[in-house]
Amino acid sequence: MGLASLEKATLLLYEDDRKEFLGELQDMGILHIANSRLSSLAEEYPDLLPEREQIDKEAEEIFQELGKVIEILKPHTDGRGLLGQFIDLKTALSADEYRSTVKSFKRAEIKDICTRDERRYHLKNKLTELKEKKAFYEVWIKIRVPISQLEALENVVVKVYKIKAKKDEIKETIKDIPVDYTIIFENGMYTGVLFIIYKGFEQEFEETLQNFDAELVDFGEEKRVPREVVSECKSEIKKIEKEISTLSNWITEKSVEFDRFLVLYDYFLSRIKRTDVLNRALTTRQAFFIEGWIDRKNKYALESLVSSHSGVDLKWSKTRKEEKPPVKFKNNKLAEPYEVLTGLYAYPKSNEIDPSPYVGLFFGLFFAFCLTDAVYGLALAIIGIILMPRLPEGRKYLWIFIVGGIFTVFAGAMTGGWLGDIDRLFPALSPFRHRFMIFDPFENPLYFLYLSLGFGAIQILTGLLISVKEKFRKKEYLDAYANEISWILFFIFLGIFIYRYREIGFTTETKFLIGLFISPLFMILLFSWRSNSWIKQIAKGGFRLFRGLVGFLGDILSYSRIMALGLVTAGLAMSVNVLTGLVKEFPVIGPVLAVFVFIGGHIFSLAINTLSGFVHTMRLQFAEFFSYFYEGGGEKFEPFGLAGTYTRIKD
Amino acid sequence: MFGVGSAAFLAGIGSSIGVGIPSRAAAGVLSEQPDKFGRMFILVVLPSTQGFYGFIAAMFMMMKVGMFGGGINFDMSVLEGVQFLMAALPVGILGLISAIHQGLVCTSGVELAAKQPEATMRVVIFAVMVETYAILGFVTSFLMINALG
Repeated sequence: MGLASLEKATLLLYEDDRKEFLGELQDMGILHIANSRLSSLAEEYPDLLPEREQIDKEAEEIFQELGKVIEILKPHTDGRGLLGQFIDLKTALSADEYRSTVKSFKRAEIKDICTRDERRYHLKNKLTELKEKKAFYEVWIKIRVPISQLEALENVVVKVYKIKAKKDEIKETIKDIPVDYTIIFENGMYTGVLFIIYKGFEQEFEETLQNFDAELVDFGEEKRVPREVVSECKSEIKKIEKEISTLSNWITEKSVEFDRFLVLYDYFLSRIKRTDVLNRALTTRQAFFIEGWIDRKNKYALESLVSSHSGVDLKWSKTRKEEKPPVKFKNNKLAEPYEVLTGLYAYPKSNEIDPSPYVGLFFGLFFAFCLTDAVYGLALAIIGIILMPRLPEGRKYLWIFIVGGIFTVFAGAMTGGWLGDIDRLFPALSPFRHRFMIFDPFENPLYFLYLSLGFGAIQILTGLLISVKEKFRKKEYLDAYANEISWILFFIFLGIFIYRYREIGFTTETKFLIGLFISPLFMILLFSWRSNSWIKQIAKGGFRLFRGLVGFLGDILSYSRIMALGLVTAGLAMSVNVLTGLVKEFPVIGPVLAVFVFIGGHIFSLAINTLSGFVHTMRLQFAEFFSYFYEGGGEKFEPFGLAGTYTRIKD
Repeated sequence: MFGVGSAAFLAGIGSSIGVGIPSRAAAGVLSEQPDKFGRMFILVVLPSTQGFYGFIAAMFMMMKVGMFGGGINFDMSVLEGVQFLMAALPVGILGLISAIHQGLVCTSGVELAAKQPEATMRVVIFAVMVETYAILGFVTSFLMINALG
């Protein structure tokens, strides 16, 4: 239980056998490759650091192209369903299917998809331009002469303006200037006008026009009649839209093979990773020197692989002082799912305890009291069991929900939570609801609060005990006595004192108990921090004592969230029932509407409260529980294997 | 009635604002990466809890004044009314402020989750830290209401 024992392997690969050996090693996925170039060995033998990086250029290029293809095809697929939005679902395939997909790969195929997509992108841009051009010329469609003729003539100048004014205002303003004009359009805000200005009056015309927000229209290089331009745009747009549609249909058809491209993506990523291994190795002209870590149970498999390659040597070595081996969880089936939660926080250091089994002890219980509804718990457990075979990637999370769900059934029964107060709607269920009920959270919230704080105290004491165990393992006995053990004694005697004081009041026995719970505090004050100076030691011990008292109080109070979330679940479920009862009384549609309100309301309540319950329970583990014994910061054991970004090879 | 209203009203405003802020950021992310809906959803709904705390506190007060039992207790003195109002304030005010700040944390989380989806749950934990004070407010209000007749 905890972390797997890892052994350090040193491999010497000769150039002749390199590719084949690395391919087989990658298929096995058992060795975590260390970066030897950052080790003290590289400092000792700098000649073994290569001048150039190893690059599989072809694989890199194809990998980039495949990434693009996936982006192109993704919008045309039906996605990965609702669950795929929350979990990275992977395409499962057999090793044979994997191999045949890789074998059938043709680079021309991905190039074709990229080219067609680029063409589609180009056409879409052109379509936007054409639509803008069409919209521009459509307003000037009443100009019946070619634009080339709207230039200066012998006696007149022709100008086209877009003016922010009504046509009557324009008419009134320019009536005294020798100008002819035609109103081309009027759209409420702007008026388009073609002016014919007699030469010699241009300046006067310009000055008059300054009374308006007027814009001289520039037709650019265009010479034709606007109608002709619009007509050409229309025909072009039709053509382009048709081509875009053809291209899109082709891409949509191609998206049927989306999963195949995901497999290829992972294959080329695996190839890149294979080359990248060499960039972690020390090298000579003929050989690569690779260091790595392997689970002890896989030692024989590696030895067997090496013995089948004449160009590879293997040596089992000792860990160097400065080296920090990666960590691999090794827990029983019950604790294994909780490794994902530990991993979310931080991987343990190689010499540290794995908190996953302890998280497993408390997580289901706290989650259950955050949810406090037996039917919700049952629903969660059933959903988890149904999804388990379909979602191998989410197996660990689903297991957490199943266990949490089962605990919730009991917590719900204890607090009378069966879809809230179900007997409000179905009074016949009242005896059943009250049969298992130990307390009603709304009637007796203080009881619920004490229970939540009690959970907190137990978990914090467990954290302290784990810390004691760890310190004993490291032979830090005095530190353990002066800190964790003193705190544990303090809490135990304080608890006994409070209990006895309430029973018998202030007597010789309770006075003795006061002495008992105060004495560990002196231990903390005097020895929790060690220094050469007693004054410094006591000052820092005093600070630790103060920080500890405040910290414990704050941490235990934080567990009141269990009660708060439990009440929220019970309250929301009750609100749904109240609302259902009200809606049921509506004439005609009442009963039907009530069914919808009841089912919809409880589904919503289950979803929102499960989310809250899960994240808050997780927070209690990370922020309160871990702070007593766990630091984390280790490197995850990631064996060199086939890439599995999108795919998973079936056993 | 003002006490009942202010518990649900203040915390509800906080949640509305708190949900609104990351929603805008999430909408931006989803326009580019629609497959991240699930992760964005978690971050967007987190600040909605304060609204529920307010609602449940309000409901508990309604139970106390007999709204669910057939009729409101109109014989309540002004002092009793003020006590109910005071009991509503911790969940109302703490819910209002914490939901807005949780919304801001979630907005940062949306940006992070867009770049590193695997880090989403870590941000969720940070956001939950902010909610602690709304929870304390809710527990305080709840105990105060419970202590009232």
